[in-house]
Amino acid sequence: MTLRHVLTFLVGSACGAVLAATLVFSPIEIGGVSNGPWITNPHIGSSDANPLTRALVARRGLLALTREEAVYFTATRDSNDLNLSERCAYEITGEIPPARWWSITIYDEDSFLPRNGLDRHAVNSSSVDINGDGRVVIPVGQASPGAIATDQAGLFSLTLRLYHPDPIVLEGLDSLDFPRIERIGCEGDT
Amino acid sequence: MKRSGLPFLPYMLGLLIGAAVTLHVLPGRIMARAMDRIESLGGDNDGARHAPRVTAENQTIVRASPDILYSVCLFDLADGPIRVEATWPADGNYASVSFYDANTNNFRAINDRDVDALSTSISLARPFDSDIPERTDESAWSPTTTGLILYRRVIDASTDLAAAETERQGFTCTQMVDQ
Repeated sequence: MTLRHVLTFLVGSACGAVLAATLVFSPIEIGGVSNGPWITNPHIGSSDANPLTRALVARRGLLALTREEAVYFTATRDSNDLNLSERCAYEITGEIPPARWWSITIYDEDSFLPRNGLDRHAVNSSSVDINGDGRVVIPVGQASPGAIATDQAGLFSLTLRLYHPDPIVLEGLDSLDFPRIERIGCEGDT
Repeated sequence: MKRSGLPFLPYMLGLLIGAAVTLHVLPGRIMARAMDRIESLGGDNDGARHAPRVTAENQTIVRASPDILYSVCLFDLADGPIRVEATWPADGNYASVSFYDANTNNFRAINDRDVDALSTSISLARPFDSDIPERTDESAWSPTTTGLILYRRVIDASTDLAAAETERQGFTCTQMVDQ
């Protein structure tokens, strides 16, 4: 082995470290199971998670529970595959999958609650009216009192937490009906 | 003709090893940083820190929920097993005690529906700690010497916050003593 080979190995190691760190700290969603705009990873919190999943969860969802206890779905895009943005208003409509308790919370690009002085970062199963047909309509980024506020959120994400999900949720992570996220309009739209 | 440029094989080997080592190390580093941040907040009585309800202004952990009350204990089993006590919500809302090792793995969780009582005692030890000096309702075994224990309690519009606060004061973590 020559010095050139050793140096090349070291350069490769440095590139590998940078590549891995970039994957973990970038906003790109990697792996997991998709259902419309909602993405989850069934291995969150579990010791059988692969190293990339564990690192991603440590970065974005530290101290998450395993799926038997809670399932976490995150959406960074709406149902038309456009980024969720504080410049736009949305409606989350449809049935929430069956669980003992659920909530939907907004996070900014750094995965923290947006610092906007408004105490409207989340809605949950006890604060939302559920229609007779089991559907919900949750305004996001609108002025109405029950809306999730998007001020100072930039390109944001929404996390749907299902605590003690019904077994059919775990069996149908990618096939069950999940609520849609519909863009109503954006600043500057004519 | 002599080839120029980087030798492919050592470069790819380095790339894979560098990425694997980074992914292996990162969770532990992120966990250690979070534990340092929690430690710096100071401790309450009996090892537990009862965080105020999460707001945009006081959040310290990513993706914390404003609908959940959190209490946390940092643990170090170098001095032996720990006794964890938890009081469950009387209003039927979800609550759990979850155990995380130093690599972020959630190696055990016990919730209010796992037990038939309004409170539970849990021993936390390492797998090779054969002598647990106190009797408890449940046991948990940590793969690593350090880590943290998180108490979660759902609050909603109908929750009596004062009662919820009193209940979660029942979450404690204390060093076991030989009897």
